[in-house]
Amino acid sequence: MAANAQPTDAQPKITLVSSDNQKILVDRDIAERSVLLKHMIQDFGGETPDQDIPIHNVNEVVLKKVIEWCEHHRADPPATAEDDSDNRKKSTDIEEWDQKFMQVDQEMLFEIILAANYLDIKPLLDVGCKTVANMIKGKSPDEIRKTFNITNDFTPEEEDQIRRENEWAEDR
Amino acid sequence: MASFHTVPTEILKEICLRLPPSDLVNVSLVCQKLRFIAQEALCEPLNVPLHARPDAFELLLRTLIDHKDTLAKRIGRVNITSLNAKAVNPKLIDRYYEFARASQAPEAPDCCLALEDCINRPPHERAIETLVTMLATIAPNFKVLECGVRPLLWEDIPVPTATQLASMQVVGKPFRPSLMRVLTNKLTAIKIKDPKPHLPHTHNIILRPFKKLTRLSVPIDIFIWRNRAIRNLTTSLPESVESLEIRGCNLFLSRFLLGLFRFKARNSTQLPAPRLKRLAFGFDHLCLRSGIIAATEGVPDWIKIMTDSVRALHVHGTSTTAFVNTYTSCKSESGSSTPSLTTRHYTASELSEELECAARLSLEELVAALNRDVSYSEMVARDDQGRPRRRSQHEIKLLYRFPRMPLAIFTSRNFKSETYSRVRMFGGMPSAKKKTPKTPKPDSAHSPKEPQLPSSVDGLVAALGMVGSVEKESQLSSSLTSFEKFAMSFQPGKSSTVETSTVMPPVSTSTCITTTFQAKAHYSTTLPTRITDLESEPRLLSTSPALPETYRSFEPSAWLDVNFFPTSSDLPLSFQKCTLKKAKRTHAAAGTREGNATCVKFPPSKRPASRTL
Repeated sequence: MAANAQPTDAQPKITLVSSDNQKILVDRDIAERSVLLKHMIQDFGGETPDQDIPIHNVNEVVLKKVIEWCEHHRADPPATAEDDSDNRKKSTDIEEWDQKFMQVDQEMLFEIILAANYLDIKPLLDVGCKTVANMIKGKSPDEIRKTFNITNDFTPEEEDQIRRENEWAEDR
Repeated sequence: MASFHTVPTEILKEICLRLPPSDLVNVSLVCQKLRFIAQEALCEPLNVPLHARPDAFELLLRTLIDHKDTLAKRIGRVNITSLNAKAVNPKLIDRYYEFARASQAPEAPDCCLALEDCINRPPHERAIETLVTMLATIAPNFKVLECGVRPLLWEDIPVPTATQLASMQVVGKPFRPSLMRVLTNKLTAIKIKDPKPHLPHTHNIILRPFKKLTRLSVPIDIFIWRNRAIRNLTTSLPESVESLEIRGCNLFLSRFLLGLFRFKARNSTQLPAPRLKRLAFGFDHLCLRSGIIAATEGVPDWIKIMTDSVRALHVHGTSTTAFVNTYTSCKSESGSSTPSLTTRHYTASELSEELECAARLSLEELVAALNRDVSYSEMVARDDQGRPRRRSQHEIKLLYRFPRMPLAIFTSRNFKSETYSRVRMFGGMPSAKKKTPKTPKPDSAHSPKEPQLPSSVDGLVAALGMVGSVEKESQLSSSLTSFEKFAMSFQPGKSSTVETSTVMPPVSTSTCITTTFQAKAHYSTTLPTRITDLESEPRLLSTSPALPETYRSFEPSAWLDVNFFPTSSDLPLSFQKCTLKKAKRTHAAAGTREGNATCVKFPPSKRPASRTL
């Protein structure tokens, strides 16, 4: 697919301004991977806006990373919203490229997730959540705390109670 | 600074929704913030684990009564397909009565009545029903139920006797009347799982009383009588249903559709389900293609019925889609490939296109499409305007002769079967087997020499081995040297001459072959370490001026598996019969000559295991 998806002709460009006031020029169809930006552009009456679009919550490094993802996935078909609620997205399989893309430190990972959430890029958010889910999988509560640097705020009695409450969900 | 603490709750919930229950139990023990998020994720949808302890559901109800304002309100979707309960603890029933008396839920009195009804029956029959009854009051937002065909009555019968079979045939409601009263006013969606294969009877469930039901997903069995006639759908489908999903479609689907319209013929104003907006056909585990094959065998004009029905439903404002649950193998982290169940959707327009194409395919082509795992629209031959057309017998033969050739060649609108009259295929290395019967496998033989050689080159190496060194062609180490020699003869600078000089037939197929061949030549000279290196070279593929657009899901990686190399052309026809040694000599001289004979080598070991019906 990648070979077919070469940019056909000069795409209209859009200037995004990150939270640290850096200007980034992107193709319009890449910016439109973000539902937030897509709606913004539609508010301009479908014309390619010539003024800069400020993105307050995302800094330059993260924004570049997000754009990198959008560029790689520019040819992806739009996700089918149907049955989304039905399928609990149990599968945590991630494409190879996305796996490599997500090999960043934890801070960056959460920054990407937050940016994807803010910009409303569902597939990227999905990949981010899957990556975190994979980090949690198969770990004990203690190991999870260590991985994400969380302090235990339970009393032993509370822990016992939670265990009792969750008994029904445990596989034998 | 972003860290786990700054992530908002809704994102943590998204993460939790992607975790299996066993991990969620651990997550809930991490900290206060995660506790409720994880516990909510466990209840949404409520899914009792397959191997949970027998009293799992009771424990759950106990937890829900404790958290009746938080957890219990989150429960919307309940899956009891794997629920395995034999008896209910009387203490829980007491507790429930206490709860029901205190609660103001409108269904509480009905539930108490239903519970009385349950208690008076033998334990194995009542256990699950009792639990569902209780859940109906405890969880106010419980609206979606997933259950078995006879969810509450026949779960524990391993093999039914004749009398049981007869009684199962009786049309019935899925639950006891007392529980029906509770559930019919509550449920908006029901999903009935497929019947167990060892229960070969058909089930007839009356879903009419569910007045609020809008979404329904059922196996087709419940509409079919044992004598294979379709039931009157006006008695089984609820009037309010908007979205109907029918799984396990096969021969019966056409009967179902006929049933849907037979009524209409009598009473032209009314359909059994007047509000039906979305009808989905599910073809399980195999694919739409095998479903259609199975169906066409039973009813000759199945495709026509189907096409007409889809059109007629469209007139009524119902969109018809199809989906296929098929096993595809995907690579796990450890590198082993495990088959996983994936669902592929066909939209309404795709479905009618598929059906239109299917109508133009012979049974051989239907099977070929199945083996190649492509859709009908990708399989059908096209005329000059790109419209689907029927294939001639000769074309079908060609299709079977070159099982590994890209389908785009056969579906191209300027495909000429005559072009391929002189194409031949090598199907293995018979002489190698004779001389050295117990040589190691080629893959293991070449790996010490060139460990980074990508596997898709193997075919070409082997093919060259056949031409290159007849005496030792089984030992790929030697054939590799000949391969290298061959590769070296294509200098990067000369690649343009290769491009122009090895033009084969004057149709678009030749471009495909040339392009692939160029890709191979490039591949062999530079030996990139990864296949993706080649894919990232758009130059190689974009040199082809017109890739057939009918091959819609064209992927470069698919081409890498196919190994072509051109040979000389003005060779007499006897070339095809000449010995391999001769071929080697002539091949060396043929580098610059024009050719229209193509040798195609298909490594026999690489053929994917073909699917069977």
